Amino acid sequence: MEISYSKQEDILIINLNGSLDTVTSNLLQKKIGKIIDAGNLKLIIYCAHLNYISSSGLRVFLMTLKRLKPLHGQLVLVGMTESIKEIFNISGFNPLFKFSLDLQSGLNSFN
Amino acid sequence: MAKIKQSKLFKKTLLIIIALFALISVVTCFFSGTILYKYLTDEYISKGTTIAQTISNTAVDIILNQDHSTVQATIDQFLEIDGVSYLYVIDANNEILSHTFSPYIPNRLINKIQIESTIIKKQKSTQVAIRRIDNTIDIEHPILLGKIGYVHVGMNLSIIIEQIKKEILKLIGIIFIIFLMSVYIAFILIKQISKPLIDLTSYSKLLANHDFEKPLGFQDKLASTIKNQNDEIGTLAGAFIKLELTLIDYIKNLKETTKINQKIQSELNIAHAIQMSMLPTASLPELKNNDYAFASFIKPAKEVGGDFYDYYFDKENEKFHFILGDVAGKGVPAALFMAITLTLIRTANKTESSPSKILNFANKLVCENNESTLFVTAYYGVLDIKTNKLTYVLAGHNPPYHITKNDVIPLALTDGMVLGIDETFKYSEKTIQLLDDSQVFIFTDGVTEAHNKNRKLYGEEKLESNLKKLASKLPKTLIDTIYNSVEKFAEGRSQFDDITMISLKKIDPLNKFRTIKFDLTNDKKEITKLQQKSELFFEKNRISNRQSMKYIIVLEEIVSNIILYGFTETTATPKISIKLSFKNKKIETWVTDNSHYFNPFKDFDIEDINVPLDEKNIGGLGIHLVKTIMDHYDYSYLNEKNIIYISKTI
Repeated sequence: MEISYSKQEDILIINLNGSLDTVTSNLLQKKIGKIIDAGNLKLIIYCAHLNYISSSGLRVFLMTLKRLKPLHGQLVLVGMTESIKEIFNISGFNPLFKFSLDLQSGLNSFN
Repeated sequence: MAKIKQSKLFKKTLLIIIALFALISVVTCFFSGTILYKYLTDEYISKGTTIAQTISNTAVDIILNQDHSTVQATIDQFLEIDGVSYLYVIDANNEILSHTFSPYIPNRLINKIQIESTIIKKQKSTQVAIRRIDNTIDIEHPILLGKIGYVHVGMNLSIIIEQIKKEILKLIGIIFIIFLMSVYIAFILIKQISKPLIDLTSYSKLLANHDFEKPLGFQDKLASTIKNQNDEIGTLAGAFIKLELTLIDYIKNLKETTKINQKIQSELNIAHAIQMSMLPTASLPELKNNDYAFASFIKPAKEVGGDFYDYYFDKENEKFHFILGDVAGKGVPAALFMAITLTLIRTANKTESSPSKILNFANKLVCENNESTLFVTAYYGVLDIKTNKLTYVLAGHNPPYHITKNDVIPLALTDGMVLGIDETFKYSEKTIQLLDDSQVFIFTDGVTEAHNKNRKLYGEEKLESNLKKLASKLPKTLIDTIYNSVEKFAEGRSQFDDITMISLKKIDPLNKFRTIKFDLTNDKKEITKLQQKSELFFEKNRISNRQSMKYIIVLEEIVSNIILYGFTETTATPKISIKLSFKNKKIETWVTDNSHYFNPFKDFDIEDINVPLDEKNIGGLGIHLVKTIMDHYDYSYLNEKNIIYISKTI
């Protein structure tokens, strides 16, 4: 699991590459925690290279959303593959998240 | 003596004698009693009549002269005569003139004579009337034709009856003496008859429990006595003695024959072991490594047989030789010839490498040593591991079957002569390409010519149809199933011919990954190993990424659940075993662990995916994924192990 970051104005883009499973999701959760603590409230998680997600990975996404809500932050998931999207769908997470097909429309969705 | 008294024969005879004598006694007594009674009664009557007549004759004048005392004196003197009970004289008016009763004639008697009694006899000429009153016979004789009166003489029958009783007693006494004598005579006779019978009976009883090893010693006794008796019993005794002696002889012979048979049998058993030890049993790792499976089977009809198979792996040339042969005939001669042929073939393939050349060489040697003109049919096949090509020769052998996924086809003949007949014969060979999942099945005619009690053959048709059904099986399973089918068909009839089968299968390398197994410990990092192992499994089975990802997620959820919640510190050696299988588009998994009883499907409720974000309990999410993605999931606790089963058809 590789995690990299880039910033577009006040939007932080978290780029995930690899598998988000029981072993790796802890690390991501800690990192996102720090990012929010640092005052980044507009987040994009770039998922085009995310090829695997287990329930612990899903939990990280859910926790991020839960943390941002009281702070009036926003989260957009971008470029997710159909396979990963299917897992979100099975989990019933789809109504909770904002999805964008590509980075540009993702950036545009922030107001 | 006691024996004779108890002898049933004697008892029967005694009973018959008693019955017979009882009958004779009754009949004799009845007849003699009746006759005697009649005779004595007649005597009495005649005697009484004479007395009455005498009195009446004498009484005429006396009565006319009214001389009653004379009448009285006359009748008194008759009273002294034996049997005379009473006398009296009456006149025409029934007035009693005189009588012998004292003091007077009982009225009862007169009443009886005149009113009650009937005349049993009346002589018309003399008008004599005879009556029976109780034990008395009353004879009424008229005086002057009854004009003057009647004389009555009473004769006492008791005396007669007494007399008869005495006579009958005498008679019975005599009969009884004769009876006793008869019993005694019967006893003596029966003793003579039944003595040998009793001896014979005990002899036959002893015979029944006899082991017939040596004579009972009883017949000496019999021989001297009964056997020489010139009657049926003597003949019977003779027959018994002969029977015993014959049986002793027979048993002796039987024991000797059995001993010889046992010796032959044990030698044959050794021969069987020697013959079987000549056949290879080595495992073939080289074949396995190259995705081939091979199996062999042999079952001689007798202890030793003429069938054989052989195989070996030529490492240098990467070639696998596998041979099957059938010597004409059965039993020891065929077995010896089989040993020669097998040895010669083994000699031949040391110097030659192609099946035709090997058989040319072996055939020449077999012919040279074949004085008994036996012959062998054989199959010789060589598989080139590098090219998957099978080159074979059929020397008069029935064609093996090439079993593919869709068909069962006999291999083409190579027009080869049987071994051992023509030493100059040159064999030719044929080659086929073995494809994945195809199999070559070689057999002897013991398979197809197995027959049932109706003499119906198992036949090639049945064999082909069974092979078709078994196309997907490995050689060992295929051969075992065919043998069971043949055995079932024969319905317990003893095997007619040697049965030998060998089979070689080219395995689809993919099939090797149809099932995998691996173990994990209770470390979270083991999840990575789980992913790698299962990824390889899905890849080898050509299952799409999309399908495999979902399946791996499920596996991770289950295993991480066990690692996080199942084990406690007290578990000695935590172990999670995974078995993955892919068959008929169905992926199945068994996850077994030795943690405490832990049913994840029960301990977490189904996630309600519709609750709002704030109330979302994410604990059961993983199990929710398992339940949603899988077609089936199941939990069981067996032998202190948790077993989770999941399956999905793709």
